[in-house]
Amino acid sequence: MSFDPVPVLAQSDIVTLTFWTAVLASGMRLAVSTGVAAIGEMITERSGVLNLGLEGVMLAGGFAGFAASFESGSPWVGLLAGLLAGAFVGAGFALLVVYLRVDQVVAGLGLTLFAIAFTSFLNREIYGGGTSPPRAPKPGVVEIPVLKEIPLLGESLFSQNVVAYVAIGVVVVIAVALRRSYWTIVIDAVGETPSAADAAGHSVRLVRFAATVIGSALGGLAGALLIVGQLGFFNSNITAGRGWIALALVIFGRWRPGLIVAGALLFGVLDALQFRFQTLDSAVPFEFLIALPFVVTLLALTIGSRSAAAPSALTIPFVRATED
Amino acid sequence: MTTIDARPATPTRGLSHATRARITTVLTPVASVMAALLVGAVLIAFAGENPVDIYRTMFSEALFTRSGWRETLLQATPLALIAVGLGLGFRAGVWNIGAEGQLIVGAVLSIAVIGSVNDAPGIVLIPLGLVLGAVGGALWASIAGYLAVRHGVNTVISTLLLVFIAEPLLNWAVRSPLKDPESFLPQSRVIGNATLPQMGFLDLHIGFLLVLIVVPVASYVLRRTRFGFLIRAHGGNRFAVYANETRESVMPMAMLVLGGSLAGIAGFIQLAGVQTRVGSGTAAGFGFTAIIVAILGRNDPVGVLIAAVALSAMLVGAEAAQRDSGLPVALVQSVQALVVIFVAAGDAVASRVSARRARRRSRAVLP
Amino acid sequence: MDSSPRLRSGAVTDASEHRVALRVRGVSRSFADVRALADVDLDIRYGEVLAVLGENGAGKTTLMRILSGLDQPTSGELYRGEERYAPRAPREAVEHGVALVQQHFALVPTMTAAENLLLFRAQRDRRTSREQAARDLRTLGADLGFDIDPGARVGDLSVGERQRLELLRALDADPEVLLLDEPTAVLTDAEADSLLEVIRRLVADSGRAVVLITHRLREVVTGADRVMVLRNGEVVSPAAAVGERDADQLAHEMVGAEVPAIARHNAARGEVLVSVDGLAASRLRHADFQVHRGEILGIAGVDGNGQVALESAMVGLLRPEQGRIVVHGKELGGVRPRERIADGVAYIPSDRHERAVVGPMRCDENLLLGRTRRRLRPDPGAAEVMAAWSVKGELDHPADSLSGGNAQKLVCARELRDDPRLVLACQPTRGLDPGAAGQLRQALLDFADAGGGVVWMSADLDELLEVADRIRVMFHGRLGEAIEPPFDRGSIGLAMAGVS
Repeated sequence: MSFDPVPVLAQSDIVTLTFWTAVLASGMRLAVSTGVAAIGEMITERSGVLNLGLEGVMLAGGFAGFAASFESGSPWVGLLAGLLAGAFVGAGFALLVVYLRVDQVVAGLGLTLFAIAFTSFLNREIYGGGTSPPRAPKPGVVEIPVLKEIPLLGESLFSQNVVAYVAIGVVVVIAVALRRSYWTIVIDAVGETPSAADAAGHSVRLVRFAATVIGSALGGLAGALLIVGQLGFFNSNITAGRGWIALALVIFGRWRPGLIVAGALLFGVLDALQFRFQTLDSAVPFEFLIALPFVVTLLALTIGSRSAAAPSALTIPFVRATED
Repeated sequence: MTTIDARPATPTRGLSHATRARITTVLTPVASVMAALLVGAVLIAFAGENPVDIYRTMFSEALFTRSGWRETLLQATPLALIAVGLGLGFRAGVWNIGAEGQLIVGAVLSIAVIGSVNDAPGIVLIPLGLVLGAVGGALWASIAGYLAVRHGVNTVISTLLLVFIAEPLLNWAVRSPLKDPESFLPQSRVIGNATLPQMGFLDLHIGFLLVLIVVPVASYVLRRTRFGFLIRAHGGNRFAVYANETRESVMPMAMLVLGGSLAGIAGFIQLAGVQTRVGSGTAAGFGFTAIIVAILGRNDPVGVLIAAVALSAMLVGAEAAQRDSGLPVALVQSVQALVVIFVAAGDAVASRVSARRARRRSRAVLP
Repeated sequence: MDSSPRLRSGAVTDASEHRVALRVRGVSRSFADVRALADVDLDIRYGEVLAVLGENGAGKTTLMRILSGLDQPTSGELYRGEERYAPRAPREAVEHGVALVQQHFALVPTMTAAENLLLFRAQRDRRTSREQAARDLRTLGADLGFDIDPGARVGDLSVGERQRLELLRALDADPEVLLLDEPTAVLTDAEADSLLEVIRRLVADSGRAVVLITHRLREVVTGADRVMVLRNGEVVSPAAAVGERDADQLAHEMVGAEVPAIARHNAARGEVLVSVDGLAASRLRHADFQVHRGEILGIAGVDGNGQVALESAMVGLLRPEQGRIVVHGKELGGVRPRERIADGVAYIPSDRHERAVVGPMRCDENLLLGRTRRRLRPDPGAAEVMAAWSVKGELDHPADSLSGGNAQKLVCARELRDDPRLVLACQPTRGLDPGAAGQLRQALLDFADAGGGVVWMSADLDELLEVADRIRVMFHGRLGEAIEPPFDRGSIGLAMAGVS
């Protein structure tokens, strides 16, 4: 799952502080992208729309982000392009499921399958899609002089690249905004009891459309963060299931930003850890370690799935009683 | 709820309800494929090729050559087998999008056992392989079934996560315990005596016969048996099934096991009929393409067979086009995914039109 | 209470004394080829409670929806004062000072009372904080003598409290015209009385116009100044002072002559069919009862007192935490649905759309639900059964195409078709028009006369008083003592409110 360059370790390294400091730092990097995607999906789902096309949205954002930053030479343009691509794809998806009332599962799967194939096609056509793909410009690393020396947490919190800080900022702003905003009430009402929101004069479909576009914009941003902020190149199906993990994180996090971020961090650290363990000459086959994050995600789903936190109207299209 | 009773329903204008429904059932997929091909033409032009030439190459390769037909039917075999199972599941409202993983586990389990009893004759090994494939796929799918039934886990997500677990396990299996010691590549031994015999003038393996058995049987079950009734009822309103027919756990588990078995059988058939060994490319995306096949085939066994042949013809044609002009197969895969979206959109529009018509015909129901 | 007795006496309700708040002129509403409202004229005046009386399906709700902007008339006009009034949405109605309290609560159960208030506030008030909304809710409540905790989750409030919150929320916009659609439908008699008192006070204090939609004569007599009767979408008798109307005549006008009186001769009570001992499951805390052959046991209670848990436990959808359900010597708790049906226990669920009908499947296939054989064969008797129950619909059309009443008839046709021993009928006539409701009641009575047993759960006490042999009241998950006829409406009503 991870693409971080990692030095080969010896067994004894596991107990050292440097090892854990590095694991946390790399876990943080891995958490950023899935976390942003999951927060976006949370907004979408709280309005009553399940976007199973998230993996596809991330791929679209990732490819757009790569292309834009490669062509312009600026990672920031890449992030913006990812955001816009996500919003664009999300708008198409929302049009289908909110206004045309297309089955959300089918539309989401269709979107993911389409994005996998289509980004792969574009990548081949434009960038050759070979084994040594062109590289996007790397964003600079921000190091906060003294703080980054703090043992264990210093490196993960105070020595990340610029885009990671942007992502963390985005998540924090959204989490805070959601706590206080009038719009949280509207979005939750639309996802929970759409008839009540309708009676209150809110357009259920417009709110859902907006929530889906916003959520997908964040999904696209997440894809761009992965490519531009972390990997630096694009390849066929490069998100490798991160969108699905983000979907699972929303359930595990019970549709609450705090828990979702915690879940993303946990997952990131686990992912970093398994990747570092792969380089150890341990008795456990490395393929098991690759599968581990997915096993953990599956188990985590058993915790969140039965909770009453799921929006009651999730996946149910809104039809006013007097219309067809 | 306030109800307004109307006069008796007026006679239907023109076509009957059933006929009209049947027409949309067939028309929507056909129109969707056309529309998707049209979009594909634009993409081909974008890639700097002439769409007419490319489509001509694709269709003449796939449909007008013997090898094209053979290849088309060979690819349609696993697609149809898997999609029949998935389609019945979708019909019941039980989502299973992890056939890729179920296929892998079915193939791995059958090579693991057959590899160790390799000297037995094919007449024993082939049925054994089919059973092992089914068991492997069913077991893998039943994990998602258990999680759904016991913990309420969404099967869309769980079946897919299981694919991401099955893939590394396959890689480990062919790298370590099942590895062919005489090969440098990570792949299993050849299937040996369990290799499927070939038949007919197209030299298809007998796995294709299985499709010709499974499709009518599934069709009969769906229409004429209690199980088929439960599938349709569960898809229409599962709570009514739980209140009147079976416990909550029965249908989700049954549909996942059924889909998993057929995917696992497809895994064995690919192994014993085409690939001869298990390697990292065993699944080859059939599990995912089968989702498209099921949806395009309206989750109906006969429709699935037609859709499987159509989609594999497209793929075979695309491979030919890639050889000829370097056009990526990914383009045709994009077109196929678009078909799914178009079918779903067409259904949504058609159902609204027919709901409006039904309301006009009968009565008004107010909240 | 400081409501004006002057108004209620009818002596001073001279039309000229009250200004007209809302004028309805020739309003009709058609759905497809059905007329839900035909040519309604009505003047709604300040300072009075106007009751619109009618059965289910009479067009009351359609009228409310049009007045509040939820629906638009096919023809006809509305005037607010001298101005033309044609709201396209509830928000526009509120801007014109018209607010609606809906029959089905428009509240979000997962949010707090204050957040629900905020949700309904107009654009300019959106900056109001939750704290401000909470303060406003308290002030509004204090004015009316309600005590609602603004921080409480609406889902945790009782039905009565939710109804009060709905009223407060409507009043938050300070409307001149307040429309109340069956506000007492889910309340106990006592709760209903206190709500009516509050409404009277509202009118007396502020001179608002209130329209009270109801099918309960009692409320018209105690709570309204004038009354209009609707039947089949038509005005049967135009608005007139309540004091001048005769209750029996109102009842006759409301129901019409089309509903035959229910006929029943009491069969002798036979052997015990079902015996429930100390049953507890989820919100059902304790239930003990027996039903004999030929008997109708009425279980009265306001919604939300554990009825759904009781019905679910009895059909095996909810595993009993304690106690037993024994039918004919056989334990039924947690049994498979097919076994329950084979044992002769039929089930008419309170939520027929969820539990009894598969909407997209054909009507004839819906007749097979729970009765399928291993191989499906065409059902030669299906058409006959549909005709016998006068289900208006086509055999090969999806059940979705049926109206509520016809869908319920289809369910009853299926459930009573294979001669069950016991029928569990939960709110069987809810939402049905008088004709269908009457047909259903008669069918269940005939079934009991033929020796079957019926457990009849209903929130409609009047219905149970008419059909039940014995009544037991359900309150807070517990079943009260059996009440034998002759029934005393007052004491049963009190028991439904928890006063024993």
